[in-house]
Amino acid sequence: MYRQYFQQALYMLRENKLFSFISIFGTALAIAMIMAIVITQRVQTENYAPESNRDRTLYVKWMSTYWNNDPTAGSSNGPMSLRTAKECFKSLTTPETVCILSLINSYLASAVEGEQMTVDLQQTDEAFWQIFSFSFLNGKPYDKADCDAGITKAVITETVARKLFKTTDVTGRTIRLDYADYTVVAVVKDVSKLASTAYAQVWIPYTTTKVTDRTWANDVMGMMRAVILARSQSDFPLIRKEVEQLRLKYNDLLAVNGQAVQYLDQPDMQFVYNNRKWADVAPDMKRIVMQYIVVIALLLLVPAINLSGMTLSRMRKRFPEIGVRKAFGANQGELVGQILLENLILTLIGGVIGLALSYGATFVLNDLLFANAFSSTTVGGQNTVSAAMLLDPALFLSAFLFCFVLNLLSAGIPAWRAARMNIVPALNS
Amino acid sequence: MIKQILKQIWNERRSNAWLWAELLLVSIVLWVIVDWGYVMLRIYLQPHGFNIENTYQLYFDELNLKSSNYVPADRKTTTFGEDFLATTERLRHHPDVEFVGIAQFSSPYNGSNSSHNVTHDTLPPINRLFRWCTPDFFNVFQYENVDGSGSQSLADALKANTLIVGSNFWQEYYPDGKGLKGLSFYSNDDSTAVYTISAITKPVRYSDFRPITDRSYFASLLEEKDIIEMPSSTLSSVEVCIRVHSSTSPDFAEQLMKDSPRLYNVGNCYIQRIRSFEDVRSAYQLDEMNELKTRGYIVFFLLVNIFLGIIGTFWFRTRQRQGELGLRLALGSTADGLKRLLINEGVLLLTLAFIPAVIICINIGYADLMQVWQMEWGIARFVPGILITFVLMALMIVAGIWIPAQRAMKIQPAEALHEE
Repeated sequence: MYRQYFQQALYMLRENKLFSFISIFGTALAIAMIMAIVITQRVQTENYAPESNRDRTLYVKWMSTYWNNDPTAGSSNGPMSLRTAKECFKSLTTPETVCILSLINSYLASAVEGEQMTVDLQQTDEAFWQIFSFSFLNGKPYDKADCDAGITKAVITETVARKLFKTTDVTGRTIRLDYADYTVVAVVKDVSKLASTAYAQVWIPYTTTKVTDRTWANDVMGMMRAVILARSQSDFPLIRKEVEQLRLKYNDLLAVNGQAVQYLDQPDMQFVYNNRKWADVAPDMKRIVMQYIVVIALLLLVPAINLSGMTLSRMRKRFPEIGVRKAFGANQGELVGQILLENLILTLIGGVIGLALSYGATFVLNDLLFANAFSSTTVGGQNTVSAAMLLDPALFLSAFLFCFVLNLLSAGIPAWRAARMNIVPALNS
Repeated sequence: MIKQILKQIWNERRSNAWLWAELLLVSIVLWVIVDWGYVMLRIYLQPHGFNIENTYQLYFDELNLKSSNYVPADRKTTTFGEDFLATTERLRHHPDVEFVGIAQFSSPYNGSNSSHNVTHDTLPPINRLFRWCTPDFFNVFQYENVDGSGSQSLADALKANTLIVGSNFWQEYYPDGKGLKGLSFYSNDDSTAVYTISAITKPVRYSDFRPITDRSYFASLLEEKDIIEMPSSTLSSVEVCIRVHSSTSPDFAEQLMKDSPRLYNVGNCYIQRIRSFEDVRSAYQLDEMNELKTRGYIVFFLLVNIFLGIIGTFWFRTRQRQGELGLRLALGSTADGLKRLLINEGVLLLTLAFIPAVIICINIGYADLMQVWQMEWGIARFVPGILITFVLMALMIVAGIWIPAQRAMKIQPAEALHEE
């Protein structure tokens, strides 16, 4: 029976080329735009190496300090000082580990006496290498002892290694970073800028530069942020609780200056963290989610209305056929099922083309789709989308689901009307 | 004529209802985007008050203790600020460089800014953007003096205890800057220091998508002695802005960085990075530009859908009405006349959907749901936006009807009548 539906659908496809083209093209366009949104969201929230633990990671990007118990009277907002990061986050006991890292910066890099290039550099502690899973070509990263002692060691990407040394086998060689000499201890594969927290081209311990001296508001604000790795997602409430305890303890300490800190709903889960744009206001997540829903609804509804009208006029031509089938005992459910199924074949063809188009968009519209907070500050690197991200079963499933919904929206009413029709006028027409 | 078309639309109400609903929905959504785009475009086209062609921003920093070139404090006779000034002086002698301006939180397309309160007489203090810069800052960005004398006159007018302000500095009391010159202000931090306005510039905008009315500024002199006293952590965020001659090669920045270790390292001061202001601008406005592009794609999507919907519906309809159209041709209607008839039908259908859409849009606007703050809501904003929306949709409808109509007209009258 299904084979027959299938053949019938193919016949219709050929019989009316224009309608087929319009409905396939309309569907493809809608699915392409929806899938571009879905891919962008997934790529930025799911676990992909080196950010393989996004689902159990919490972030504190910015904080806020205010005086005299009144945050509205004046506040200082931005990244935190090393002291705050240590007191409030590094000393947490519930998480598996906590990493303190600086904001990303551009640095001048060169081999000794070689030509200079500008690189994106991140300053971290040793926990960084535990939270993120880099693939090492050779060597191993700096450890706790190196960080504590402020040893000038650096991890670099293969591109930087090739550019400066013409080879990737460079552990032990010296790299000059902003005119200071570092020993290369490891070379890692290039990191996509889509891994927005792990990304850099060179990593060094933050204890080797002056970055931790750049502080203000009584050494409360500075240039650092914190990444917390929980043992599992179910620990999040516990961690939040402990974070709040440490915050209150820290505020007691700051009370001598009449000062206090707050985190504006942080630590953030990945999705919220991606949307945290400003230091002084928490993102309005309800509004952001609502916006996505409205846009996707619109992308489904407009072509659905379009296709509904056309499916209905096409259905009219088949009224006699439907009448005959009813006369021979087909029930309403069967007829609705048949029409929906036939239509689903058209929708799926459109869906496959649409999904392919959205893959294309991830390359052509890369800068637009994957723009994030530091796209503007980095000098190198690319938003490389890996095959694993595109061949994700969840993507296929959601593409199919959206096709299904679109099909239901666009063929539902015509199918229902056709099935409810009286036999006699149907046969007459 | 219109009556007849209306009757025809009514007779075909079943299939027209779908199209009508789509046109209504799309009209509203399209207007929401067009209105925003219209406001953005209007703002974008306002005069900037500054010019970033051939300008670059440089970032300086202090050598790390770990650097082999680091000069320890006991061997140094100069402050970091003096090294910083010496470096800018060397840049001034670069053959390609026309002007070097130094400023803090003042250059265009800058996320950081500072604002200060100033007070005139016994009036309440006013809060304005504070531009702290050296005289050549005006030459680098070519601020324009309202008297038409260019930027050099501004640089000459910036002295200790003078202020230079935009003509929109104090709109409530001194609209368009008339009478501002010579006015004295004191700062709330130090009421003994009196500053007098010595020149007035054309309004300077914050960025491409911020309107003239958004913020106004006052500038005061950043003196060498201020720079000399600044610690390196402050100076690394001070903006060194340069203008090069228009004939300068595009490799200027790259070449400068290559020469930099040899020519521009003074004491512990070095040039960390150079960026053209074109780059600074696109980085600063990345979000806005992406928003613009995203909305552009949605407009494209909506218009394509209208086009497809119209083409589909009218294809079907002209086929169904082949008999009628043949009869009309046989009775002397011209092909063009018939096409016009069909197009009128489409446009009339659009108008029918557009009238409720206009009412809904007006209500959306009055309910302040648009969240477009850059331009005040009103007739001057609504009418152009709604007209552009109508024209865009009408174009799609004409294009969508044209193709099926063209095909329908090719039929021989006899053949059409035969079908009848």
